[in-house]
Amino acid sequence: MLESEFIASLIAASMRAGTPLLFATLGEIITERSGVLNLGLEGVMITGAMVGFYFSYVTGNPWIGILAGGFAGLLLAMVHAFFTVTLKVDQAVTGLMLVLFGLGITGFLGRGLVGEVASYLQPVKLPLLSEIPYIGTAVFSHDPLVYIGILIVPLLWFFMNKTRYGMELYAVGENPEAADTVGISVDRIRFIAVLTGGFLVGIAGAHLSLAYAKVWTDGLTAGRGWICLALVIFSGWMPQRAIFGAYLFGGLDVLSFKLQAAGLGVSYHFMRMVPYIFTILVLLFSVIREREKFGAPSALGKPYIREQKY
Amino acid sequence: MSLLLWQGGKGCNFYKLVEHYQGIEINMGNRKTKTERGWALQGENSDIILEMKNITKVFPGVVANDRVNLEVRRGEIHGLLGENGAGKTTLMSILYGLYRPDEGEIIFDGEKRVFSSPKDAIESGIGMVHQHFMLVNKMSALNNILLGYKTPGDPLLDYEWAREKIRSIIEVYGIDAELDERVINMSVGEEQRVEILKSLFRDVKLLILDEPTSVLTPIESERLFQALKRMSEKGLTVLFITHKLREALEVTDRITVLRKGRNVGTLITKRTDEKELARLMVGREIDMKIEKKRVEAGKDVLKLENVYARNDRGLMALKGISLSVREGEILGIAGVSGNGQKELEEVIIGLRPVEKGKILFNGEDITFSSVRKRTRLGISCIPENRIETGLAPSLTIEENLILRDYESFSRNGFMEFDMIEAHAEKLVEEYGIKTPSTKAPARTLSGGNIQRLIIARELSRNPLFLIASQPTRGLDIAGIDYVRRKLISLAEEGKAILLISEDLEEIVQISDRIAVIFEGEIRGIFDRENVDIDRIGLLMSGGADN
Amino acid sequence: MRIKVERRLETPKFIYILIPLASIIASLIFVGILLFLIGVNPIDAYSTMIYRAFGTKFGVTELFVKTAPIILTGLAVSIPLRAGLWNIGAEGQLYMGAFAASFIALYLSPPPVVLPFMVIMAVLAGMMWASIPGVLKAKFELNEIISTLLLNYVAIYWVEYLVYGPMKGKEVYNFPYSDLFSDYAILPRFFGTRFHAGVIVAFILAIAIYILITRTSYGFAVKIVGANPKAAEYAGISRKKIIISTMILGGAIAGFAGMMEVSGLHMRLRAAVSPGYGYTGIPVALLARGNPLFVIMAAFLFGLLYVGGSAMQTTYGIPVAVVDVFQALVVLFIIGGDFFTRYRISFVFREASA
Repeated sequence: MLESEFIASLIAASMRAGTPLLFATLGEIITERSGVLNLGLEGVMITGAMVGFYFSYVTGNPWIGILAGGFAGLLLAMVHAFFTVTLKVDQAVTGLMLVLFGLGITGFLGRGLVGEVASYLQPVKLPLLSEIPYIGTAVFSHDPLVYIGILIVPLLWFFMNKTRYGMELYAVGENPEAADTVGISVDRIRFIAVLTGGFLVGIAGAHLSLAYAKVWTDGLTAGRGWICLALVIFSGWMPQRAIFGAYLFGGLDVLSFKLQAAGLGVSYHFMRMVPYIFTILVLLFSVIREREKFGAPSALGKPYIREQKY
Repeated sequence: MSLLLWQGGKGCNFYKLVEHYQGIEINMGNRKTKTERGWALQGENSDIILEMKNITKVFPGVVANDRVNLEVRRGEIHGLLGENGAGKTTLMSILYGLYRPDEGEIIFDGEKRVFSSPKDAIESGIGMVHQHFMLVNKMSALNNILLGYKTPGDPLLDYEWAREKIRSIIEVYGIDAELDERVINMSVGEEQRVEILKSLFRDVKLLILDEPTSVLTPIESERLFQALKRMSEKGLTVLFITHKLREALEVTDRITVLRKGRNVGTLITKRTDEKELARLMVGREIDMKIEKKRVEAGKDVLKLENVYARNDRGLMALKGISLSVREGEILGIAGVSGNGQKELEEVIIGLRPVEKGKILFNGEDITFSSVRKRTRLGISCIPENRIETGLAPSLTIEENLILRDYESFSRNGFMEFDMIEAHAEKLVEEYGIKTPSTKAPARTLSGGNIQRLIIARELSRNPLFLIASQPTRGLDIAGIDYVRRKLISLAEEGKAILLISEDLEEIVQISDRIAVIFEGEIRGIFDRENVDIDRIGLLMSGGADN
Repeated sequence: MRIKVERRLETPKFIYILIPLASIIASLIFVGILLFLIGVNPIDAYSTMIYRAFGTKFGVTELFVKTAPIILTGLAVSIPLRAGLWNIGAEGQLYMGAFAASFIALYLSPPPVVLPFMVIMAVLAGMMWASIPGVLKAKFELNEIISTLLLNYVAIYWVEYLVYGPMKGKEVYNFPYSDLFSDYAILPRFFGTRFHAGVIVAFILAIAIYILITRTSYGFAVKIVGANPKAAEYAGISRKKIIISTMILGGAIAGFAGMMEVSGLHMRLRAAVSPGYGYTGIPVALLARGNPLFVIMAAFLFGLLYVGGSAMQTTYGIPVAVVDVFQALVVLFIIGGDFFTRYRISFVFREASA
C-alpha cells in the first residue's frame, strides 16, 4: 500500500514537473517545424517564469501571470523571428544570445522578487475522478494548466496533420522554396510559428514559477530549456510523442527529491546530474534511431532567401 | 458563337474543354466576356494570352533581362530558347512573381498585372514547373499537389474532393501519377508529372516548363512532348524553356530566342531551322565540331571490378560496375542523372565506401585507400557539384587553387604563402580565370570562371587520371568549347579520362568509348566507330539490349 | 515607394569597424536605460566602472586577472568555431579542469612537481570532457550545441557535489569549499596583487593559437572544413578528425583556464569556480570573428565588464547579471548589423512595372 501511494505521488509529481517541459517542447516543435531553430528556449522560458511571477505577485491573479509569461515569451520570440526570419541572421547565434539575454535580464530585474510569495495556481480536483483511489491523486488532482497541456497535444496533432495550415507549416520547414512557389508566404508562416512557439515556452516558464516551484529564484529553469530541445529531437517533432518525453523527464526531475526524502542516502547534488546525463543518452538514442527514418525538418536552421541567384 | 481553329489542325478536341471551362469567366483581349458556354475565340488579336513588355531586371553586376518583349498566343506551345545565362529563367521567374522586374509590364489574359509573389501568378492562372522540382520529398504526391490549395471546407483538407478533381484532370490530359506515394520514392519522370499535375490542379491557363527534358531519358522526353501537345490541343498555353534546338523545333509552334538578356527574335517554328536558331542564339555561326585524334589506347589506368556501393539513403546505387579507362582515351558514361553517376564519381575519388568489388589504379588496389592517397597517386576530379563540392566559396581563389594539395604548399607544417601566391598568379594567367585579384573570394567568380578555376587546379596537378562529371553543365557555348578542347588535349597527352555527362551529344562527340549506365549497372559499352544513338537511348531508359 | 534589399557584391571596409563600435555604444545605451529604470544614474554607474578598472593599480591588475580566463574561453570557442562547430561547453570544460587540478593539489602529487602536474591533468580533463561531444558529433552527427551545454550542467553539479560532499574542506564551516591548496600548488603572483602567472600564459597561448590556425597546414585544413565540409572531404581532409581535434584543443584550453582559476585565484576548489566565463567565450569568439588576436581585444572588453560589474554590485547593488545582458545585446546588435555587410538597402521611389 505504501508503495502504491509512493508511485501515485510520483506520477502526480511527474505530471506537474513535466508540464512546463511539455509546453516548452510543444512550443519548440511548432517553431522547428517551420524550419527555425530557436536555441533560446532556456532564456525565453526563464523570462516567462520571471514575468509571470511578477504579474501574479502584483495583481494577485496567477492567470494574469500565466498570460503575461506567455506574452513575455512571445516578445522574446519576436526578437528571434525578426533576426532569423526577417534579417536571415544565423539562427544558432541569435538563439544563444537569447539565452544569455534571458538569464541576464531576469537576474537583473528579478532580484527584488527573490523570496517573495505570489499567488500560485491552485490544483483543481476533478469531480468524481479525483475520488478514485491512487489514480485520483496521481492524475486528476492537478492545476488546470496540466490538463490544458494534455488537451493541447491532440489539438496540435490535429492541426499539424489534418489542416491546410499544418501542411503549409510542414512544407515550409521541409522545402521553403517549394512552399514559396505555390504561393505560401514562407516568412509569414515562420514568423507566426516562432511567435506561437515563444508564447507556449513563456507559459511553460510561468507554470514553473507559478505552479511547480511556486517561488522565483535566479536561474530557476536550471537547464530545462536545453532538456526540452533534446526532447524535441526525442519526440521526432511529433506532439503525441512529446508528452511522454516531458512526463518522463518530469519524473526524473522529481525522483531526486523523492529519493532523498525516502532517505536512501543518495546525495541530492549527485542526483542533480542525472537528468542531464540521461538527456544526452536519450538524445544519442534518438539520433541513432532517427538516422534511417524521417527525422528533423529538412530546412531546419537554414534561412530562406528567395533571390539566391546573385 | 464560333470556334476558330488556329495553328492548323489544333483545337479539334474543343468540346471536352468547353465542358471543363463551363461557367468560368475568362478575359480576352481588352474585353471581359462571360461566355455562355465558356470558351470562345474572337479573331487574331484576342489570341494573345500573355504580353511581357520591356522587361528589365538587373542583378548586382549583371543585366539579366534587358528590355525583353514576349508575346504568347493562347493555346500555342511557345518555345523560349537561349544559352545558359541568356536570361530565360529570370524572365520566367519575373512572370511567376518570384522576382520583381526593375522595369516593364506584364499583360496577362487581357489585364495588366503586377505579380509580387507566386501567389498572384497562380491566382491569375499561371503555373510553372521549375527546372529543379519544387516538391516536398517527404510528402505524398497528393499532398504536394494540394499544398497551399484551399479545398472546400478549408482549413480542413478535403482529400475526397481533391482526388475527384485530380482524376478528372488525369482523364483529360493523360498525365498520371501514384497519388499516395511519397515523392522521395519516385523516379524523376514521375516527379515531373506530379509537378505538372500540381499546376493543372490550379486550373492554369498558361503552363511554364523550365528545361523539362534535362532530367529525362529520350523516351520520357517523347512522352512529355505528347502530353504537351495534348494540353495545347485542349486550349492550354505552354511556355517551353530550353537550350536544346532540336527540342524546340520538335515540340513548339513558335519560338522566341533570348541572347544575353535580350529578345533577338520570335519565329514560327515551321519556317525556321536549326541553323537559323543557332545563329540567333549564339550571335555568330558556330562550329561545334571538335575532333579528337584517335590515340592508340594504352594500358588500363583505372579499373573497376564488380563494384557495389550504396547511396545516401542506404540503397544500392552501384550494382556490380566493371569498367576500365585506358591511357589516352576518354570513356564517356551516358545516362540520365540519378542512375549512379554521383556514386560512381565518389567511389572512384574515395568519398564513398565500396560495399563489394575492387578498384585498381595502375594495378594497385585502392579500394580502401583514402581520398588523399588517391589524390597523390594522380587521380583528379572535376566534381558534378562544383560549388557544393569543388569549392569553398568563402575562401580566396588562391586558397581554392591549392585545396586538394595544400600540404605540398607547406614546409614543416607551415604554409608557404609566397609559393601559394605565385602558383595562383600562374594558373589565373594560364587558364584565363577572370578576376581582379587572386585574393578575392571564389564566390565572386562567374559560373564559367569557377569551372576554369577547378579545371586549373585539377589539371595543374598533372594527373594520370581525371573524372570529369558534368563538366559543361551551365556553361555558355564558349565555355563548353573551352572545356571540351581541354579534355581532348589532355587525353591526347596520354591521360585517362572518365567523362560523366547527361548531355548525350557531348558524350558522343568527344568520347572514344561510351558506356551506358542505368540503375547502377553498365548496360552496354560501345566503341566510337560503332555508336548507335538509338540503342544508347534505349539502354539509358532501361530497355533491353538485344 | 518601397524598400529594396539587394545583396552586396563587395562590402566597404569601414562597415566592419563601424558595426562593432556602434553595437557596443547601442548596448551601453540600452543597459543605461535599464539602470535608469531601476533608479541608478547610468553615467555615474559607467564612470564608477571605468574608474574601478583603470583608476587604481588594483583595478588594472584585476582587469588582467578577469580578462585572462575570458581569453582562454574565447579561444576554446573560437577554434572549433573555425571548423563550424559551436563549443558551448567551455564552462563545463573549465570546471572539469578545475576539478582535476584541485584533485592533484589536494591529494596526489609531491610538492615540487605539483604545478606542472596540475596543468597536465587539468588540460587532460578539459580534453576528455570536450571529446565527448566531439566524438558524438563526428560519429552520430549529434548536435554539439545541446550536448556541450548539457555537459556543462553535469560538470558544474559534479563540482558542487564534490565540494558539498567528498571534497568538502575540514575547516570551511558550511561553505561549499574544499580545503586550501598548499603553497606549492598556487600560481606565483606579482606586484602584490592578484596578478598571477596564468595571465601571462593566457596571452602567450592566444598568440600560439593565432600562429597555429593562420600559418600552419592544420589551420588551413580547419578553415576548409569550416568553409565547406563537403569540399574538405573532397580535398582529402577528414572532417571527423578535424571535428574531434578542434573540440579537444578547445577543451584543453578551457581546462587550463579552470586550473588557472583555482590555482591562481581561489586557491581551492569551490562551487561557482567561474561566473560564466565559458559562456562569455561565445560573444568573444563572435566579436573576434574567430581570430585569436581579436579574441584578446574582445576579452578585454568583457573583462572590463566583469570588473565594472562587480564594482557596480558593491556600489549600487546591481546584480552582475547585467553583464550577461550587455553581452547578449552586443552580439545581437552586431549580427543584426551584419545584415548591412551583406545587403544594401535602398529606397525606390518609382514603382516598378506600374
